[in-house]
Amino acid sequence: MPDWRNIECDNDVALSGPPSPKLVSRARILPLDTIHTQTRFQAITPGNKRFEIDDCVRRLLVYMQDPRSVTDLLATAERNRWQDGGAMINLAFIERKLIKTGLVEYYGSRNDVDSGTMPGPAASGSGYAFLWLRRDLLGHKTLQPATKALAVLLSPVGILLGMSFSIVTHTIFLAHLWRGAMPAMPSAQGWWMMVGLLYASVFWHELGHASACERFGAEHGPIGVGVYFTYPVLYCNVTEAWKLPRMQRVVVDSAGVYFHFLFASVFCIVALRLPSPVFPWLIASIWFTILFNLNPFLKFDGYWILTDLLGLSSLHRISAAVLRRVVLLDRDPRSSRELRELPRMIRFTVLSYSVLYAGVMAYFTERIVRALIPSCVRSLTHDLPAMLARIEAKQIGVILLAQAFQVVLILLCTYGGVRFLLAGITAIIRGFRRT
Amino acid sequence: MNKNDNFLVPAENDMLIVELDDRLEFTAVIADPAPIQSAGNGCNNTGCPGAGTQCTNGTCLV
Repeated sequence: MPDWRNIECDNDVALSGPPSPKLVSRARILPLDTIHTQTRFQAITPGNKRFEIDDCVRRLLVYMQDPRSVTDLLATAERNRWQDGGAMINLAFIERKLIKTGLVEYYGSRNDVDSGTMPGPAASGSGYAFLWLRRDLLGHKTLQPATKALAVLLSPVGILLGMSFSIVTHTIFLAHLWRGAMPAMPSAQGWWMMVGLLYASVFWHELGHASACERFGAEHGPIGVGVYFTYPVLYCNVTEAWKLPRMQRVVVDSAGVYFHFLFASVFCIVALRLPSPVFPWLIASIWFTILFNLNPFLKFDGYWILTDLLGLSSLHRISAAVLRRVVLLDRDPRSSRELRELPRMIRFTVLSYSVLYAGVMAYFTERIVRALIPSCVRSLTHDLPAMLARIEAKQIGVILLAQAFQVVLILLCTYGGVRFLLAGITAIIRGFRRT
Repeated sequence: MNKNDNFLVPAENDMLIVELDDRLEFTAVIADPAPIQSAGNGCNNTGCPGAGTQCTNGTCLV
C-alpha cells in the first residue's frame, strides 16, 4: 500500500479521501508519425509542452481521464504489466513522469481548480538548448496575414512554378558568370547594402517555414533572433508541425531553402540588369548560407530534414543515448529502447550519424578554443584601438560602422562558444554522475 | 532480474515518456559574406574595417 502521508498535494481544497491522480482537463493526445516499430503518440499539456509516449502510457493516460485512486492505478498497472525500466510502475513513476510533467494532477488540487480558466505558460522545452540571447521579433498574429498569402507558393502548382523560376534564373546567372563576368569587390557602402539584404533573405527564409505550417494547417509560432551555439541566427518556432505526417514535416523543414532560392532568383535577374558587384556577392552569400544550413549536426534545416526523413523524433537524443552507452557504458534499457525499435537500415544510419556527431562536436570544441577565442582577443586588442583611433580622427562613417558591426558579431559568437563549452562540461559531469 | 538482464530482454510493456523537442528552425546568418573594398583609394596597413580583413595590395580582403 502507498504511504498517503508522503504524497505532496498542492491544495487547500478539502479532500474526502486519498488524493486521486487525473489527466489534466485540457491535455491532448495525438498520433505521432515516426518510423518506430511500435506506434507512438504525443501528449500535450495545456501549456503546450509535448511528450512522446508509447501505447502503454497512452492507455494509462486515457484511463486517468477520470480521477483514479493510486491504489486502483497501481492495481491496473499490475494487471496490464505496465513497467518502467523493467520494474512495475509505482507511485514515484506517477509523480516523476506524469505529475511533474504537467500531464496529470491530483483531482481537487488548486491546479485542477484553476486549470479550466488559466492558460498555461508558453512552453520552452529542450528545443531551446544552446540558444542564447533569444528574442522573439514577430508573433503569430502579426505574421499570419503574410504567411497565409505566401502559403500559395507551397501549393503543388506554386512549387512547380517557383522551382522552374529558380532553375531558369540561376542557370542564366551561372552562364553569365561562366562567360567571365567575375564581380568586383563591393565598396563599404555596398557591403552594408549586401548585409542588409542578406539578413532580409534569412527573414524571408523563416517566413517560408511559417508559411508551410500555415499551408498544412499547423499554427506557426514567432520568428525571433538569438545566438545558437556560436552563430547569430534567426529562427521560426514550428513546434505545432509535430502533429503533421512526417512527409509534410519534411516540406515545412525544406520550405526555408525553397524560399531562399526564390529570393536569390529575384536578385539573379537584378544582377543581370545592374552592374553593381553587390548582387553577385549577395547571391553567392545566399548559396553559402543555404549550404551551411543544410548541415545536419546542429538544429539547422538539414537536421530537421534528416530527422523527419528517418522518421525519428530526436536524432540528437538517440545519438546521445548511443554515445552514453558506448562511452559511459550506460546499460539502462530505457536509453537503448528507441534505437532497438528502429528498422535495421535506419539503426545503422543513426549509429553512423552518432559517430560523426561526436567527431563534429569535438572539432567544434577545438575550433572554439583554438580559433574563435584567440580571434576575439585579437579583435579586441587590434580592431578596438583602430576604431578608437578613427573616432579620435573623426573618421566616422560606414567603414567604422562595419568595423563595429564585425566586432559585435565576434563578441556574440565567442559568448555563444564559451556558453557551449560550459554547458558541455556540465553535461559530461552529469552523464558520469548518472552512470 | 538486474539491469543488464533487462537490456537483453526488452520489456514489451515498458512505458516510454520523453519530452519532444520544440521545433525551432534555426538559420545562421553568415557574417562576413564578401570581401570589402575600403572607400576611396583602397587601404593602407591600418585602414581595413572589421575582424578578419587584411590590407592586401591596397585592398581589404577577408
